[in-house]
Amino acid sequence: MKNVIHIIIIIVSCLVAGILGGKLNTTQRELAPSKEAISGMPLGGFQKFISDMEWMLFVNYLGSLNTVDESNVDEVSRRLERLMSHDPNLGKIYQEGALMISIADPEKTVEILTKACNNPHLKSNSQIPFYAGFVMVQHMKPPKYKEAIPFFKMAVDRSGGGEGFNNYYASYYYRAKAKVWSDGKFDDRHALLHVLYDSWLGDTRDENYVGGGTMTLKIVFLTRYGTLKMSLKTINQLLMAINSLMRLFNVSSVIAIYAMLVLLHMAQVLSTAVVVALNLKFTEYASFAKKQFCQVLSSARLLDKNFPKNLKNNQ
Amino acid sequence: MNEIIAIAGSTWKNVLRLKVVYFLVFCVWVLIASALNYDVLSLGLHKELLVDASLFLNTITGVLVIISLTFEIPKELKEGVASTMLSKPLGRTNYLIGKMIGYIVIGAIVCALVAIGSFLIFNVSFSEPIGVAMLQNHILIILSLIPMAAIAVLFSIALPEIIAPIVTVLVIWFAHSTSMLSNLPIIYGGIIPDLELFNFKSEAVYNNAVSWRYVVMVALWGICYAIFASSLASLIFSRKDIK
Repeated sequence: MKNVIHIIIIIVSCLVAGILGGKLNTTQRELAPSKEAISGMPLGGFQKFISDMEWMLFVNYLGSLNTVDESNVDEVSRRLERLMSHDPNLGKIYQEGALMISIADPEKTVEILTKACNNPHLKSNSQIPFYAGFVMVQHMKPPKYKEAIPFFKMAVDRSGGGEGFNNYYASYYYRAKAKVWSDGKFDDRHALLHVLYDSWLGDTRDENYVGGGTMTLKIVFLTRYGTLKMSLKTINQLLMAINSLMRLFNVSSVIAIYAMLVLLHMAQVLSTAVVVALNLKFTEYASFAKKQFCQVLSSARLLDKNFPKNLKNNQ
Repeated sequence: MNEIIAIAGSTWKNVLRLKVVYFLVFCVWVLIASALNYDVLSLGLHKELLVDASLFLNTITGVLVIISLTFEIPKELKEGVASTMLSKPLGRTNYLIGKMIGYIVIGAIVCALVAIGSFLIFNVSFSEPIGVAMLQNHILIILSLIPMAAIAVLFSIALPEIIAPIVTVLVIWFAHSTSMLSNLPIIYGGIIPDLELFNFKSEAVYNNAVSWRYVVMVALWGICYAIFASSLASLIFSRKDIK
């Protein structure tokens, strides 16, 4: 009789534990999705501790190298992958570890950083997608501007536009877009102007558009005789028209920039100040874009310094 | 019930009165605090390392306490202490449950001391409050002692004295990797234990707390599994000849 009670208890407890265990396993996968990515090697549940030890050994190993090059990049990659298999959530692996091989093996770096970008635990980390894009445009030969755009966009989005907003993200994002747009046919500054203009306009046709809402930007020239308003759209259209004309006559597109500078120069003669006024819902991106635009204008004006003289000489 | 409490009480009193236990706890605190020295070598990850080291060492502490159970029961059976106790009106099941509860209490107290020490070290070192995730994980480690103690009781009864601790360690070690068998209903969780259910160390390091409901549920699983394993142990023990 006693044995029968024992057997009943064993069966009931086994059933209850089995059902509960199955449910808890599912819940645990939801609570800790990174467990799926951890290696199945039986480490007694100490994967995290082993990963910490491996990280310190990795740092130590890197310290013993003069440089990471073709002779040791495979070993560094192997160590990085082992680290990732124990703790894919450790941000330092990507931010500091993967970048060590970015020059010797940029493809592998991007592969590792892409995995990190898809890791839900690191979804708020804006540096990782930025580094992925950065490696694509700086270390890959030829640079992969088009492929880098989604990573820069991800970095901009993840930074949230708040205090942590890093101007580099937006800068690289716009410049990569400009490179793709110009495709080597236009001057970089002109291409950047075009991209910034598109962003400000809130062109919904552009899938990589980062601005929000409808925005209109006007450059207001405060002149002695009143206010001269010129929308960016007008400037850009003018620029495009001049550029097209110049290209038609087989002249370098840089001259198109010069043509626009003539206009600006003329306006400056009359003006006491140039104010960028915005009639709009500004997002942080647009705010940054405004700064970028001003920088482009400033650098263009530097180019313009000798322009009237040259023009006279040419005449 | 009184017999179980009497056996459990005598077990934990015998162990907890040993000064060496507290000396070992102090050594564990020193080891945890030593993680602070790794700030340069870990490139600033010493805070995470301290949390992780405290969880790692607390788990090891718990496992060591449970392993001592696999020495205790065969020793008492061998030396005849158990037969003396069992000659009194004390059932074999009560003896096993008493021993198991006694060691769970010992493990819980020792692990709680380690956890409290690590909280103090963390708080003093970083002037930060203790994260809920860290607290939850130490609680989960303590709760994991329940199924581990049952496994230890089962093997200490079913296997010879020398083999029992080794098999217990191996089973506890591999029981953290059984989630790959989760597609076997009832067998997984019911017969094959999954101690990984108590493991959120990585989440604790990154301060990702789990729901308290999960903690309660996993404690329930631990109790159910402990009932299964200790009943099985009791069934085997009831058929065993004792000197």
